Amino acid sequence: MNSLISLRYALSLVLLFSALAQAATSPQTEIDQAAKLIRHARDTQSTEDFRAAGLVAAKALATEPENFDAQRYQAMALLGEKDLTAALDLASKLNKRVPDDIGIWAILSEIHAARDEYDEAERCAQWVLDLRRNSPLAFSTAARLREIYGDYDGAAEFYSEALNRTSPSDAEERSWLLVQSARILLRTKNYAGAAATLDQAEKLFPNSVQVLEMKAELARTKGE
Amino acid sequence: MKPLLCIVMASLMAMPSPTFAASHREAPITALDRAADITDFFAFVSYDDPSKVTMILNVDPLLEPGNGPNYFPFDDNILYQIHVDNNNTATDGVVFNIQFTTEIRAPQVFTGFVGAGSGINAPANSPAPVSPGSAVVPAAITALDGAGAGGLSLRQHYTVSITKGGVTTQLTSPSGQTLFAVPSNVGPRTMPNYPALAAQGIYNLGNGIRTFAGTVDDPFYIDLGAAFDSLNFRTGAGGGVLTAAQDAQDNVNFAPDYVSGYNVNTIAIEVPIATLTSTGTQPKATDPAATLGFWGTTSRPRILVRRSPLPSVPTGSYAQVQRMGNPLINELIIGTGSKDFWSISQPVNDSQFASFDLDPLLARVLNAVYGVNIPAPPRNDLLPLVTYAAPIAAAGTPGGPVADLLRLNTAVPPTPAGSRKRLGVLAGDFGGFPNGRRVSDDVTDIAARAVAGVLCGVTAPCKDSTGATFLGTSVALIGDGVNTNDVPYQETFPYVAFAQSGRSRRHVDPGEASCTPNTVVATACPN
Repeated sequence: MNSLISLRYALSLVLLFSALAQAATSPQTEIDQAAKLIRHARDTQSTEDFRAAGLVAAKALATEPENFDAQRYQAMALLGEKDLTAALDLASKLNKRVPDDIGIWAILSEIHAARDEYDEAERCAQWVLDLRRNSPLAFSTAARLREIYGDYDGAAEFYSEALNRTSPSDAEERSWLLVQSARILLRTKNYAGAAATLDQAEKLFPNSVQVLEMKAELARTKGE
Repeated sequence: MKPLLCIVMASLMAMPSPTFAASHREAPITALDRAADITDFFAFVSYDDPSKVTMILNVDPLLEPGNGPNYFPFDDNILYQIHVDNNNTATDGVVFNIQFTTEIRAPQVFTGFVGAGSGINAPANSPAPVSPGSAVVPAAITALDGAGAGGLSLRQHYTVSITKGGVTTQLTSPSGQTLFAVPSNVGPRTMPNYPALAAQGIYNLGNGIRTFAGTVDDPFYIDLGAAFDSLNFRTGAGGGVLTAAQDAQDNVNFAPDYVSGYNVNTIAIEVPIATLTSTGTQPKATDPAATLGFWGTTSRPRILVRRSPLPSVPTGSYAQVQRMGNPLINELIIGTGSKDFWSISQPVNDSQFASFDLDPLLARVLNAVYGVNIPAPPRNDLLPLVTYAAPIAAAGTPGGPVADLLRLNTAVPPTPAGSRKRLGVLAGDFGGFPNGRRVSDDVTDIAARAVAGVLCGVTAPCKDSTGATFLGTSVALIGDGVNTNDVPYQETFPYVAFAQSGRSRRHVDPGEASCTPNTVVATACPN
């Protein structure tokens, strides 16, 4: 830290000036809207909803073509639309531009998993864990891969870690993580546990499509 | 079941983005993990024994000496390492591994360190159940172990091992001593003879190796407040460009040292040069084998995507949190969005960051703020700082890959104290940075000038923005006005000054009568 604190001032200065210059034409409203739409699309798993989120992100990029957050949402939207080639292309560019961003590493992991490129998916997920070992994103990204690998206990452990590290005020996110845990319980035939977990998820976020779908899945599996 | 996409989006939406929010960097990895934050790394030929090299890894910044009750223990979960490249490949030739263990010896006591005189007993009016005359406060702390160590409730010991040729060997004291870390200097009542106490933390590990670990005075110095105030350096210090007279004063400060009065945690190891070189000897300066590359790292146990087949068996795997070789690379050269990625990458892979070297942002800031002329990219003049090259390495030394290592020609003899220059090689003192780095080297001024192009014409030809030849001799005397540390360094191992007292530490502030408390030269400290 000490060894050239003097250099950090320079970097922060440049970034500050840059941010101030951009403030007058900030596309933040569109970015915030894209974030909300991505969350909604995640819940509905609807290609159309992902496309809508991507269009809003594109609006932000019309104002500020290099905006990193907007491009990240665009990559998510492309992933949700299952346009994996375009998603991989954009996410790779963003990763090269800001390799510190764990969100992009996580998106890359998911894209590669969707392309059945599991070694690469694991490599990217490991970067998330190495960069921010205790973040919810690190645990949920790794949990997803453990689930794919059939390590359900390991996946449950990591979803639980992610849940424990997620803000109590973010009911929607906690509900989502509970749905993931419920799916693991369902896979391991712990129907009572899955039902209880889904009840918790529903209480937290009553309108979740994912909760309803998982409840239906549970009922079908139990033969109800 | 329905295939699930965008699982990660969930968490991504939920979290405050730790590395990128509102288009500016918020939280570099070590800002979240200060115990693993490497503040400085040094490697130099021992002042009093030119057959040895001393390596110092400092961690955990800006420790306020009075900040009890726990003060500043090392982290038991961090693996601290010092690496040595001895074959120009930017990979491990020799590695020193240091790990700490904490013990709480008096868990009922509210502070980590307590003691006074020969101890204080309960007085006659002591309420039950503590009967009058029974010990309440132990004797002052005068030893790290045994008699005189009763007041050390929070105590740490550590192990040092050396890995060479793939074989790891524990380094132990020939007398079987446990290696204790030296605690912070609480104050004169608790630790009445702190220098004597701290000196007990210097251990001989046999074969000419010595070690020291503990809290010490932070040897770094800088006008931090002016620097962060948009390069608002003091007028009395030339506003960022020193006068020739100021520049020549290596022992006088013309601006306040914002690190004055602060401590830092240090790990120092002194090793015979022959233990480090690939030849097993101490080569001459003209021998390519004489130049070694050094860097320090901190690492934490790694969490893996894939569980071990035997969950009860730890993998032993560690994830690097930070590294440091040269004092300038990450801060000065590497782009903001790549700093964490750089920190946890291996030096041998630094060619992926080479593009940052060719047009450093700081040079452009200096150009913008001061209007000084700077070289045009590509800045090949800076490449010798990240390869084995003259004037540090001998002719014929393989350059090796681009890598951030602190390179030291171990055959260059140490410069005597009276001739030592804060500007090191820039001032003709080849015993200092960037030929290794001593605790006294003014790396802020050296690095700023190097970025501004002072090496042009020496290490590589440069051009200015008009295409005309740019010479390093044209670079202004850029400096913050802080030319020396607030307390004297030691001339013997571990070379850093022992820790400042928690009770009487002093931070030098703007407006004081003198910026340099420990000198007879009373230069007013400007506001």
